[in-house]
Amino acid sequence: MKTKTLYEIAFIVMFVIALFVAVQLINDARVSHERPVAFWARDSFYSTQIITDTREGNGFLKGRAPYTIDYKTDSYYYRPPLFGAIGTMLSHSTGLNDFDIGYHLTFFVSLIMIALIYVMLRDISPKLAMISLPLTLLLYIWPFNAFLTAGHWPSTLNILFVIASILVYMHLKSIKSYVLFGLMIGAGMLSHTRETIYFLIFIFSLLIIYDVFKKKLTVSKMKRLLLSLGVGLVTYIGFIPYFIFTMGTQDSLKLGYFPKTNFDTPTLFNFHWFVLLLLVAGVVCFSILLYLGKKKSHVPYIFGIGFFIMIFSNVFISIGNKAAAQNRFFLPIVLAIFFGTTTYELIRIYCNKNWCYFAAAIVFIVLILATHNFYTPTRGPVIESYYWDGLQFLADNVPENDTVLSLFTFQLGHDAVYWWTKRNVHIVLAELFVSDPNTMENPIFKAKLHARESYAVRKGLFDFEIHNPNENLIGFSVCNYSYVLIQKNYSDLQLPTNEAWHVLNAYVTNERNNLIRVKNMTIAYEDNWLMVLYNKNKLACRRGIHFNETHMEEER
Amino acid sequence: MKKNVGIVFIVMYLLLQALYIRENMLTVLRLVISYMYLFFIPGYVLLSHVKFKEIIRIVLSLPVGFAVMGILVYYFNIIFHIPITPYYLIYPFVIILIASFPYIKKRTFSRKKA
Repeated sequence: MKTKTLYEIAFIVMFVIALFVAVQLINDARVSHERPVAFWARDSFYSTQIITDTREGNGFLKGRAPYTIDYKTDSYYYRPPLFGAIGTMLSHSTGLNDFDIGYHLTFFVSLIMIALIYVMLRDISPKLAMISLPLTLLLYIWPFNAFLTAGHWPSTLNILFVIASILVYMHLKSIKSYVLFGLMIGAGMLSHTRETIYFLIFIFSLLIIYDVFKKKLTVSKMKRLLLSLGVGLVTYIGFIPYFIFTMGTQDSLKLGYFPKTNFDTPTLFNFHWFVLLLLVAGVVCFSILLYLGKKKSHVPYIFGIGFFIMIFSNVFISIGNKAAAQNRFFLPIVLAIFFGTTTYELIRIYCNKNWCYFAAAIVFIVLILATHNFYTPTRGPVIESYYWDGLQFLADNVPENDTVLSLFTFQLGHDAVYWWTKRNVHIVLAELFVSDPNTMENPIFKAKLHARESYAVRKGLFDFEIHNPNENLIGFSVCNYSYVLIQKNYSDLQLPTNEAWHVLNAYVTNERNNLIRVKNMTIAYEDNWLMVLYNKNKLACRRGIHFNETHMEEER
Repeated sequence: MKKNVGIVFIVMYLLLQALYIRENMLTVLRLVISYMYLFFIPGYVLLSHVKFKEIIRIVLSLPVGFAVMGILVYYFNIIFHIPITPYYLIYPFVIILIASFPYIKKRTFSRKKA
């Protein structure tokens, strides 16, 4: 066996070992769980629900699960279907829960993504691939691992197709490869339409411009690329009307300015000590691109630069599209290409020996693993383990088609969080109360009813009506609900100040007692963190003193 | 071809079992078999029609399998109202059969000629 091959095999073995260490934060070495774990945001539950909707409806014709949209049954399925389809197939064939499959599938997709990047760079030089690969480990380190823990899983699937299409683009020869390129674009559109459109605008157009400047774009190539786009559109055609008339009407497709506050993490500065090197490496990468010989492929470099511009415009200067900004979690891939190329070129100048490349790759692995514990998440999962039993009680005891009222919850203040219990939940948020310091002196609870999931109803072939369940919550009264879920304790981490903690705890305790004594509710479940009250006699409840309903109505 | 599929199966199993070290062997095996049958083998067979290096073909097989299976399941469901489960199990078989047809024909033809 050649020395080069031996170095490569040794490197891959070391990389896999490093991978096991890097994924520790997000992987508990199990694929099946009783309940969702490591879900750090509402969107993880939302992404899981995409699979559940597809599986429970056994396709895309039955729309959303009724418990997610106030038990309406006339909704229409209008999310890009690929993630739901793949998740359903895997869930059925493996027998695993939807939340496990969603989480695992996204993780597995990220592994394929790394393999694609390796093969892509290996095409230029195996040594370059070897140096670049360790930097992709940053994907599993906070805050970049949010691509997995914070949801938006269909977006990860889309990035996979984008990278796969780039690899195919590097090897466009026969007509079949152009068809394959089109298929990858179509699949990307069917996983996350907006991001694929931005991929076409930022990366694909850059590739074309480069070819035009280098006079590589022949008429026959142009024709074949148009064929690819045609294949992509044909693949996507079945979803076009739903995208334009449903999703397209909700979130603007326009390229424009949007508030930066939505994207506070991760920013460029989350790269810490890598940040300067990233910029320097970017400049070197760009220079290499300008002086690239004919023998080497320019595609990975353009992909890196285009991807960086796409992320930079979308997240750092807030010009782009809000719904297409999930690709920011994949900055390590850009870093791998930029930084790997720079190091590779430097080593090529000063020490052109196999062991130098191998040593550089190992140094990167060691550096990343040594620093990966520095960057820890600022908060815990959306559902802490101590809420499980309370929520399981809802799943087991609340009758189907019944709605639960969730009062004063923080981490449980997201509708999607309850969806795995298969019950509809209306939420009264406590956020307004805490965020307004003036209310501390006079603790009047300003609640807000919250059930924000919207859905589409089909009225004609291309006529869709978007419904917002918030509009339907008229005549709200706590007595209308058979079950009321109350958070009993708030840890100081969940509230901004100690004062807020004391005031809210006192207020909630008082209101809880009111519900039991005055509204005649009984305790159905209680632990240290949650309490579920059962409203057996709704008439007796209504005769009791009104429970801040005037304030709730004000907000409505 | 068979050899490569076997190697991918073993590597995928070892990798996933190592990542999910606390997991039941059977669960991981089921997961790997699902990936192989539903996505990898259809993608790998389809890619035999495009000239790629073997390593590129192997790495691209899963994305291609995801794409083809997902698209088929979606369109058969919305156009012909065919439910996803359990019919999705038929699609890989049909894809493999159709994609291998030219080779089967070629082989049979060359045998007859011989």
